[in-house]
Amino acid sequence: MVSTSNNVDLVVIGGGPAGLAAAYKAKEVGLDKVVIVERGEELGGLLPQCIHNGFGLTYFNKDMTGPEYAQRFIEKVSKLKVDVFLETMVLRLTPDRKVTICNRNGIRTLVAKAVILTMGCRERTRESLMIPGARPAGIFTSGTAQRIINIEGYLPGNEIVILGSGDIGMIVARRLVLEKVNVKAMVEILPYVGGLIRNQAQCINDFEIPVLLRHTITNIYGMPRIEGVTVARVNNKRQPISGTEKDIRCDALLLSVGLIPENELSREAGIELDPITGGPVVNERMGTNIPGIFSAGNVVHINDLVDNVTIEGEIAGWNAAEYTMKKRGFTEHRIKLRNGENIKYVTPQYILADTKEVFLSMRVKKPEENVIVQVGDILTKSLHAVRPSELLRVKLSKKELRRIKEETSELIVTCKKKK
Amino acid sequence: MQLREGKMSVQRREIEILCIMCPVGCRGKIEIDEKSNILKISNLQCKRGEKYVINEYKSPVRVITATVRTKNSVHSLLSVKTNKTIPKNRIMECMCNLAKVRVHPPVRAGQVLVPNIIDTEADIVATRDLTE
Repeated sequence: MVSTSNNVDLVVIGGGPAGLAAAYKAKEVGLDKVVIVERGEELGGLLPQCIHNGFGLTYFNKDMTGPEYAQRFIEKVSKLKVDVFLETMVLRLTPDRKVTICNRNGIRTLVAKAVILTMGCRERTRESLMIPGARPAGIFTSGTAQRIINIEGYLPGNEIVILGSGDIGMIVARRLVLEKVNVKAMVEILPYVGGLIRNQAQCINDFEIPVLLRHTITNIYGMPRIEGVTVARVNNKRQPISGTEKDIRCDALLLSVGLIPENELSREAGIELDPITGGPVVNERMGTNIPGIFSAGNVVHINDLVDNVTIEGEIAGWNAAEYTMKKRGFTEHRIKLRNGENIKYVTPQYILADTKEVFLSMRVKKPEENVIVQVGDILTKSLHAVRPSELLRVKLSKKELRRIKEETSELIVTCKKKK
Repeated sequence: MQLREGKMSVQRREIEILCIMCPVGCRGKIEIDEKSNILKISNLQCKRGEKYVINEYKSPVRVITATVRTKNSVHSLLSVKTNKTIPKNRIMECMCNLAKVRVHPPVRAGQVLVPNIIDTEADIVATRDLTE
């Protein structure tokens, strides 16, 4: 049912897992007019193209595929009568929560009591890496290739080289091998594989895909279609070593070199962003620096499990509803979490410490074994191993939150090797 | 067994299996004899890992996720999976079989499309609805 009035309680920008969770939770808490604005043809975000399993392990205690996981929340959203605008683009968001949207019916401006930003992320491209060489057809980001294979029904090529060993690259490599495509090499600049260990085992090792560690692509050749790449070993400064160059023939190059939260709208609205995460600065209620504007999911920081994205979305939805009904600001940034030794980032970046528990998500800079994660002087946690690709979640319970002294304005988070 | 210079030497092999139980990612080493019996397990930091690696060596199984082609549908493909694990060494055989399958709407998520694929006792089920 499409709302005809422009005044709504909540606009959720982006109908992927974060947005779906935020919308259904806000409805559950009691909001009336909740709208999801989604630019794609269907809800679910990236989940419909993620036909592999590994979703819902913690949230549902089941091993589900992307489409199955998405279906659960799409059904919830439908049952709770959330308004969904598909094939609708948000053109602008203002600090006073006016959302200008555009679709086949024209342009409209919704006036929302609260807004939740759940736009997700996009992939780093060849251009931003500045790989030298020709600019032929046949170069795709892995996510694009995944969509082409799993939704459109085409193969990106027959002889593939993949740059980067991120999760998407490994998952797509397996998908290609299952479709009898020759995946000739995965080229990784670091001395170790980038994604989850599970993917390394079940995608790379299972199918014996050759991985060139400490290598990078120094040239792309072929016109009008890619014919090959030149790879070279790199030194400790990640610079190509002259004389180690090798050509690998291919008709498609896939890139799996990083995800970037998509925050154009956030930037234009004046939302404060964290330069390290690339996403909004948030507190544990997923509130940004602007009253009534919340955020969740990959647009805040790149997650590794969709189960955690769902939880973040629920927190944002719940608090957006609270804000709307009780007018609590949630913009106070009481205690800053500072990135200490071997910590790349922590979210939320601030905590108000007025709830019964807070979940911190963090990533380390370097892999390490036998470590102690410390949050100020209120929590110490021992871990077997940490890797940059596996997000760490640390819970601050009431007991720990009570240890925060009144005058504390920051907590330093560190990850140090046990002596 | 090989007889060499009057001494007896038994053929042994070492297999490496990456453990996925936790972020350490121990590279478990299994030493096997010529009859593929496990002689020794090493390089694993916990019992969970040992159990996983032994299972992986003895009978590795996987759930297969793929797509099948459609007929009379606005969508080109339907995502599917096996509802149970199948032996790892029959994965490509399963994929070849799926290449021949065509489905047409309506299909409900969870619906069995191919029962007992290649006699593995696993069914191929739809992982989403196909309504048009």
